[in-house]
Amino acid sequence: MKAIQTIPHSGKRIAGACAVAVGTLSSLLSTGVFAIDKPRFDYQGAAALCQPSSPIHEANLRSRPLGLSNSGTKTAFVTCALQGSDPTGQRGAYQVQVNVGNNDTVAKIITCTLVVVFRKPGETVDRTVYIPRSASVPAGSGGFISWVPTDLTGTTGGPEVPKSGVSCGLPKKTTLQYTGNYYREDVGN
Amino acid sequence: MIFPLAFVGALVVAVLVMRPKMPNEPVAAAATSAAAPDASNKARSAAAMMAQDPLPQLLAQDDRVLEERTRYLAALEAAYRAEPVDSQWAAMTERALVDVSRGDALAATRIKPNAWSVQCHSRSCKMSAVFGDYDDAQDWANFFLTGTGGILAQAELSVRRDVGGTTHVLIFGARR
Repeated sequence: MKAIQTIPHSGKRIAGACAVAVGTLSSLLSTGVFAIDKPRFDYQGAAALCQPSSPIHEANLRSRPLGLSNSGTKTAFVTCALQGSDPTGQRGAYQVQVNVGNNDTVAKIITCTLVVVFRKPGETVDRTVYIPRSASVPAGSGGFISWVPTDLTGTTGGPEVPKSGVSCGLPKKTTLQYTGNYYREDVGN
Repeated sequence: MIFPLAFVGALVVAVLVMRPKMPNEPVAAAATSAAAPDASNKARSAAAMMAQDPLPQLLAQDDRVLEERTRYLAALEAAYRAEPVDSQWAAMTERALVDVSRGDALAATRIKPNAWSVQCHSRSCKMSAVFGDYDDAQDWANFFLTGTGGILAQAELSVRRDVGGTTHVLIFGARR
């Protein structure tokens, strides 16, 4: 008959292992290894966020609950100040967009430019870069123009869109409806 | 092995930070010296404050920023000049950019650029114009670039006040 072997101080070893495990786990949690990122999308109505770029465009722009409309006969320029979080705060945008509508009976080309200001590592001067885009919007329909970090290739080198604003040229009978901002948020563990 | 060590390290740091200070323990040196100023200390502080007048430093910083900005634009110009010319793309793009500048949208702004020039090579275009008013220059450049949505991938803009009171706009635009 085989004698039952006892392991000396086994209780202490288990307690020690548990302490190490708890320590390891709390270290991992505190260093954010298990942090969860949730994708978020914020939109803001253009009537609040955008305004005429100069007094000459003011007369033809109507602020409506669902957008800023050009009721004139010529293109009106508007400026939108995008809301966002600094990329270093881990809530930087990975896509920004403007949604537009065409109230006319013919297709319209709407042009917008994203204006970003940033400083590359090692540089001491801010750089302002314009990224112009256009969208053809069918009659009585809507569309959007979006920008992603790769549009800035060779400039910021970062994974997120830096601080930015948008300028749009709204042809007659078109509306800037809202601006959108996609980002990820660290919601903890 | 690293994480348990990090945990123990964090515990030690937390204990040290939370440890109450002893009554006779020295506090920060700055607070001690500020607590009992005498006349000579006051005089020294005034001299130090004068020596720390931020204006010269700010002006020097402005000069440095301007210098670096100029250097950066010179680098863009050099890169543009070094490009070979793709005559077909250059002609087509120059025409499209001139069309934007002469279009109804910009005409409606009633801002007119002087000495407007557009030149494209194979990967980028250089555009420049002169304006009588600084704000007009900023607005026009912004409206113009907004209209280049289907033509340029991105652009860098310099708006510089000239000594004579005019404002010079310089744009380097990259091919889509």
